[in-house]
Amino acid sequence: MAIDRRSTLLLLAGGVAGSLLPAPFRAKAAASCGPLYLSAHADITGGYRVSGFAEDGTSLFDLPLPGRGHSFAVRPDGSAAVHFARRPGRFALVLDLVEGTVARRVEAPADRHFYGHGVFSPDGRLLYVTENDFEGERGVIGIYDAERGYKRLGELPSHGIGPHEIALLSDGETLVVANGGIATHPDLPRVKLNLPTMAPSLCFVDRRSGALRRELTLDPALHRLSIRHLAVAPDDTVAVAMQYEGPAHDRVPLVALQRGEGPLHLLHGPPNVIRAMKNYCGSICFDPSGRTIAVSAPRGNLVTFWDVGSSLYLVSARVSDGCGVAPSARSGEFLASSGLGGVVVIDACSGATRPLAVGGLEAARWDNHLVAASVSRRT
Amino acid sequence: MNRAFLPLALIGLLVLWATSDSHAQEIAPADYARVNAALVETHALPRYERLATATDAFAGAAEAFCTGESGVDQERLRAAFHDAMDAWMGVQHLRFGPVDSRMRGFRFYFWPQARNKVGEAVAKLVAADEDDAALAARIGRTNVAVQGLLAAEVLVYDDRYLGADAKGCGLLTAVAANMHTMAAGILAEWWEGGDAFAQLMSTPGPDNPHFEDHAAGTLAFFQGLHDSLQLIYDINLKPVIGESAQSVRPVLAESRLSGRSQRNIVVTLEALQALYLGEGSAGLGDLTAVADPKLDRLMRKAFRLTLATVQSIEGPVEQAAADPTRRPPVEKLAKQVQALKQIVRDRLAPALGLAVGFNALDGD
Repeated sequence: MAIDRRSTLLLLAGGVAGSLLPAPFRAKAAASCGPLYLSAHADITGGYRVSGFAEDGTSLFDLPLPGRGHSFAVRPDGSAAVHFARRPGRFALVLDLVEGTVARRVEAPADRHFYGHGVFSPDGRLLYVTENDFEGERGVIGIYDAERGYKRLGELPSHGIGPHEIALLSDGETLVVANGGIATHPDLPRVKLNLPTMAPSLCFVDRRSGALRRELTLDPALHRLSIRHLAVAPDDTVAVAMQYEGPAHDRVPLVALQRGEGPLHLLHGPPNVIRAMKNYCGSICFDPSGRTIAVSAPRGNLVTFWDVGSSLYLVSARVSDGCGVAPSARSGEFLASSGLGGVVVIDACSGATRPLAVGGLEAARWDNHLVAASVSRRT
Repeated sequence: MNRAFLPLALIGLLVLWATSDSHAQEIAPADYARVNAALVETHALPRYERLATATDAFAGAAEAFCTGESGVDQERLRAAFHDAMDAWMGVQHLRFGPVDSRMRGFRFYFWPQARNKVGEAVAKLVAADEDDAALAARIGRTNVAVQGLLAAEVLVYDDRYLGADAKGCGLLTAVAANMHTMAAGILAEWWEGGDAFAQLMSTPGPDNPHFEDHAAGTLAFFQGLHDSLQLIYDINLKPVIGESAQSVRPVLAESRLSGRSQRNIVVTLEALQALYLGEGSAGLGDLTAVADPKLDRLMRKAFRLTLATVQSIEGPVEQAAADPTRRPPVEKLAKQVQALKQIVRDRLAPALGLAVGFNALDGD
């Protein structure tokens, strides 16, 4: 089914290639209300791009990338977002979300590469970026100064190997970072070097001192369960989406919640759903209320929804190679993007989906992450 | 077609095909089942049998070399090591099932390794000068880096370990016996008893933990083909051969001590070709021959020419790549392997009715 759809999209795109030219983009992103959605994608020729579109599907910008992109750090005032290269990439682009342009290109130091995620300090001045100290075989959090041309000020330890997604708690001081546990080296890009001994962790790190405030790990029997993506609710509940590197037929929990001083609480879910997720989660987010989480499982062509209060599985929706998930402006509603093309809006109560036509980007094959930025606060 | 232009021609064709209208024909479950059964019996079984035989012979050679009883010299020991390597390279692409349990795959072959971890672990263990029997008893539960072929290579090729007064024999015999134990275990779990993996593969269903349907079994074989091609390019070629003869990085080459980096690729590609063509019975290609005969012809040709290229490389890849006169086939091989991988991903997957998406294939 997925293949048919892709063929169709490719054909469609071939037939309307002219409309891919950047004609329909609205000049000023800030003129829109509601969330601005950001995602990298591959176009029909395989070229990597990054786009922003509004909740109604209006494309606001679509820019070429120097290589494959991954995720974003959105400045709290919504004026800018930094788009990071996919690991082991070394570029980051500062996107002006008002103008829809690239304001600046930032490079990782020669002995570091980006993992693809980052987060701003509450005042929008400092940018914290997960990076690989590949010679030291340890994860670090690079600190960049947005008010001094994104000059790199230094780094903090991530207190683990392979830090991936990073967020900030509501105190504005505590970084929470998912140390996936997997060692990689740019000599062998994308090859996992330590699967037999990997040890993932969820670490809470003081953003001023770099001190490790708390480190949460899984049962040693689950040491190959890579803690990779996370999201933080308004009440600081941390939701974690994982990827299992062990045998494909093992059935392991893939989603966890963490509250207050508590441990990682694994969500088990119905066995048929866990099986269908194929031991691999792509991304995770809360809805605006913090009551529901969406977790994508692109290898299972599934986006799953979970109730935070009860820790129970709610429902799932079939999205072919669906990986990016982001909240809509309404509680209990999410957007999901497909690696075969297309964006859908999903009701997390019923699992019902409706397509969202993104103008001029119908054939875009959406990359791993879809991120909501709140430009509306400025307008 | 002039062979020199083949890589470019292949890539050019790919671009055409990626955008062409390819209607995947529905493949019946019985056809998947037939191909899976043939591959299990005529591809997986003889190759795992060979691994068991070759590791048994290597264990015997190690024992004889170390006791000095039956005149096994260094040359014969090394020959037995190469046989075991050939057997592993011939079956390494099958990454599912018993080899995937108890981390046997990593224990057999911990590659790629970061920063000479195997060499360091071997040196440390030999220096500890442990009692041979105790070491043999615990080797299967120790550091994965010292359990398999990479440790054996260090022991057999680094003169520090097996020369006069050297202390590598205890570890060598323990490693060799451990490999044979693993190979025998893999074989038994695939084919012996009512709960054998081969049986599991032929009876998919909602309660089968490995295979929901027959297509899932075929997908497991397909992934072996795709991932192995990707690894040849990503690990054995691109980082090693660099952009020019001046930028070769021999330190990243596989099997550098035993000088068999080129042979590893030959044996692997032959195994992948056999997976596609079948070995006296059906292979993956049987599913495409009817649905997409043009693709089938392309696959056969691509395998044939890619193998001819790797066989034309003189000496280990890292040495040939650094020599301007011997480098051209190495560069050609890299292009052909990459083109073959793209055909497999973009055309063979849909022709086999297997969905492989942008995010799902290589996650993050």
